[in-house]
Amino acid sequence: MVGASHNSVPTRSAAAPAPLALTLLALVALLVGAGEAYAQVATIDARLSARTIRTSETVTLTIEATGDIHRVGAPESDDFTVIGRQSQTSVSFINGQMSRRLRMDFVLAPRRAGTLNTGTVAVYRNTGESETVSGIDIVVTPGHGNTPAQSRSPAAGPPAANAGTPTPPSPNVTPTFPPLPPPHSAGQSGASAQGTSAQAPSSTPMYAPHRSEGNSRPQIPAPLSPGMLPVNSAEGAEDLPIILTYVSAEELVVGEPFIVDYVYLAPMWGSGFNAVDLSEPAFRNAWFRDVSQWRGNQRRRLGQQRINAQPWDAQLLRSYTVVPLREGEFEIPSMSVNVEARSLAANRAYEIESDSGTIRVRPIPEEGKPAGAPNNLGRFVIESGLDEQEARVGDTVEARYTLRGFGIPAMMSLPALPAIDGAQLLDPEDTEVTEIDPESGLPIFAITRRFRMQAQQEGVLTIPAYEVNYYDPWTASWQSVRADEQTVLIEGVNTEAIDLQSQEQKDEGEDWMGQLPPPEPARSSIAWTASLRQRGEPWLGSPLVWALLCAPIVLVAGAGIGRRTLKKRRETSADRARENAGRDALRGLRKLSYSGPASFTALSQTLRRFVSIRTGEQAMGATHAEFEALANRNWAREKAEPLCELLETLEEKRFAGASEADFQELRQRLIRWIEGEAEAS
Amino acid sequence: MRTFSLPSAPKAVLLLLATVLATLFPSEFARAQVENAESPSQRVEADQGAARNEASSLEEQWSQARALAEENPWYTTAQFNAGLAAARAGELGFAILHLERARYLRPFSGEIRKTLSLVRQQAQRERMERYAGEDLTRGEPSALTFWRMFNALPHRLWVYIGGSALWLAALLVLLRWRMVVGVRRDIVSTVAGFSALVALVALSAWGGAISTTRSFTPAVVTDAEPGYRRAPDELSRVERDGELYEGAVVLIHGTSGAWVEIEIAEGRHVWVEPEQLQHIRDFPSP
Repeated sequence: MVGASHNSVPTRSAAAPAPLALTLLALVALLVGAGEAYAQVATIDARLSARTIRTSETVTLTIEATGDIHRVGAPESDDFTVIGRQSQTSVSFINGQMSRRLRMDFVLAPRRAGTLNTGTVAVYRNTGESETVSGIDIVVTPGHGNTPAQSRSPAAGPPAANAGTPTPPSPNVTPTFPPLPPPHSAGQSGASAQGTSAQAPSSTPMYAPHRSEGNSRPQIPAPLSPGMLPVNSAEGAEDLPIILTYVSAEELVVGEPFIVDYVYLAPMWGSGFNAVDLSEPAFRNAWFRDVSQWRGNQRRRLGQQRINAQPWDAQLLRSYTVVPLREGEFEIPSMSVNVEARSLAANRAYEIESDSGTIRVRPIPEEGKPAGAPNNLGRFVIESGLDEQEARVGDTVEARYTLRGFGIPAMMSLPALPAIDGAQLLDPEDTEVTEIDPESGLPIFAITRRFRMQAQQEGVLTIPAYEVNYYDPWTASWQSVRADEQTVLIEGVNTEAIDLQSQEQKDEGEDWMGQLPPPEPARSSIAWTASLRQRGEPWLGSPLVWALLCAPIVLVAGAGIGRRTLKKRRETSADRARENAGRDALRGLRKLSYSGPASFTALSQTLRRFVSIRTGEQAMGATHAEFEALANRNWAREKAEPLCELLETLEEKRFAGASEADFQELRQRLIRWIEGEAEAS
Repeated sequence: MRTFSLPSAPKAVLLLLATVLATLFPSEFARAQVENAESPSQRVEADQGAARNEASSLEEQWSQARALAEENPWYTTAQFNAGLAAARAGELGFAILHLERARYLRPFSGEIRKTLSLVRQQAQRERMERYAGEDLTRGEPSALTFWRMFNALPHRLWVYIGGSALWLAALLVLLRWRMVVGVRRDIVSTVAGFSALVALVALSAWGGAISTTRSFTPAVVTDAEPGYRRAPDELSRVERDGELYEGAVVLIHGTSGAWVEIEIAEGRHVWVEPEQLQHIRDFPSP
């Protein structure tokens, strides 16, 4: 044991407001309230850490709420038990408005197998209004986790709660258990107990058998009674509240449940104190659960206590039932609470924290332990039953064994049935429930294992006796409970019986595996796409490939450039010829001399060539009408008419015959017309 | 109206080019087929494996199919059968791995795609059962989309498609220049433009394939219960997330000691142990 004194730290102080200041504060509060009303849009998000778990595992329900959130209530579900909680709060100011983000993690332990619902969660606003978050469905399958310590280790997460608000009533008040086996009647095999345990009537609650045996229920002292051992002391306590920690046992074995009480003591003189917030302890390497409501039901307010001759008001702050899962020094964690001291002068805030302590946890003793027995721990009874007394070959018979008592399922390992003549054993199914004994605050549980077997032959099917060994920490001895053998009469054959195991295996894979195609037959070569990849990737190409890729671009580009160049050259040549047409025509006319009628033909050819080049239209070989139209299109009438007349005269002289004088005259007229045209252009 | 007729010299050039194109690419395929034809011993081994599969358990079938796939990594049938055997044995991560490899090697197979989709759906179902609150995965790393898009076809095939389309476009452009205005010329212009577009897309995909193959290393999570760490450190806490599940395809970004940095959905970078992953492109060098 480690003695410890309380630890008080003033955290903030405020002067008493004057009447004027109160008025101003009221105005400010009015304005802020209007802003907050605008900012009251809250978002609430709920999610689960897993959708499918086993009955021995836990799941974390996370509620995230933003806005003017005050607190988040616990899930209200008959399917789960809240075994731990953790809260995170962050406050932010955006545009002068405060927004609070609250995240609550609830560690939930299922009470049974099946499709369960986490239950509704109430989210309370600062305005007093509340919203309800719907529960989430989760599939819980029977079975255990890998190791007891790991399967329940999530429960060791640090929980937190608000002491300023009352703890919402837990739905665990009324225990819910799986259907009990029917009472043993004549013809049914019964169960007998050896050692200190005895068979219980199946219609009674889980903890009733122990009550009937007098002292078989572990005796847990009431809070602040002499049986509760203090972990820290009140030495040095002055005028501030303190937290004292008490445990129900000084030394334990691994898996033994015990009680930890946190008692809040406030001085009954001086200032009045009001607890506003507390941080709950986290028990590491242990299974634990808050049992304040059960122990508090007995004596929530513990009355006046005398410490150092002064009166103190005692109150049970929190009470936990704890099951250590590892041997060695087990830490009893500290617990802190924020309190406000009220006085006429000022309000002061303090954080009160108890010191932690340790208790020793021993391994389960080996002395007296049956050979090969697992390290089961607790105190319980066994019940057995059959679903059928008579069956046919091929039918499935179910034998149930239910263990009830004190402890936790994580500390239990049920043995298997040996091979049975005349029946084929199928996979067993487990169902387990954990509750809190309202009288002692200790955990109680019920584990039901169902052995299914398929009858293979006619006759009497004998199911052997079923024995479970365990260590009882309250008597510090190894005990055993035993269910007697049971018999089933097998007569006749069920012709429609099917092989359940093979059918189940078939059904499991039928959904999607049946859609898988058959394997492909071997091919003579790999795919051509695979062969392309096999030659190496990334592939940057080869010089030949690059040449082939560039060639069409070069080809098109070259052809395009060539076309354009050719076109330009043609246009340039035509322009040049047009410019020089007059000069060339005049040079030819001046050199021309009379040599008979052919001279007129030469004059006509020169004129037509000039017109063709000048206009860009075909004048060589054009009829007179075509030439006249061409001239009218390209020249004005005063120019076109003399030209057409000149050509007409030329054609006349050419075929009618004319003298040299006519030739010279026409040549001179032609020269003048071309010179005039050249000057005009 | 003038009628179209090619002069003899351009005709000869076009005939020559057509001959080159017609012989070059088929010869590439033929060469690949000859080089990579399965040896008789491989064929016999595959037949024996198929025969053994008929009589052995699912686990034995998976073991034999896996051995065959490792011995013949380029053999698409071996990869596909290994994926099927892994799926039947419940090894969804390895099933997706081998089917991804099969699809990588034979991208035009509808059966492979269908089977891969089926196994992925089952992997998603198991993931949704394991992780609550995440009905649908937030997808794969965004860069993986580019890798899948550009590597949908072998790099050489991109080049062959792009090259052929480019040549076709070029020849049609030349042809168009020789034609007078008319409906035929419009048709030729349209086909030439479409071919040029195909060439542009295919050659761009080739460039993207080279880039993504060099930059990204896709891998499949084969661990049944994968966990990740936020830092490459033993002291870093092992965390689990619905986006890192058996069968998820992730991108490897680097290594640090014995740790591998991967990218999962939404661009999140986490560190995992290399034993949890298998590379999709884990093929021997040519």
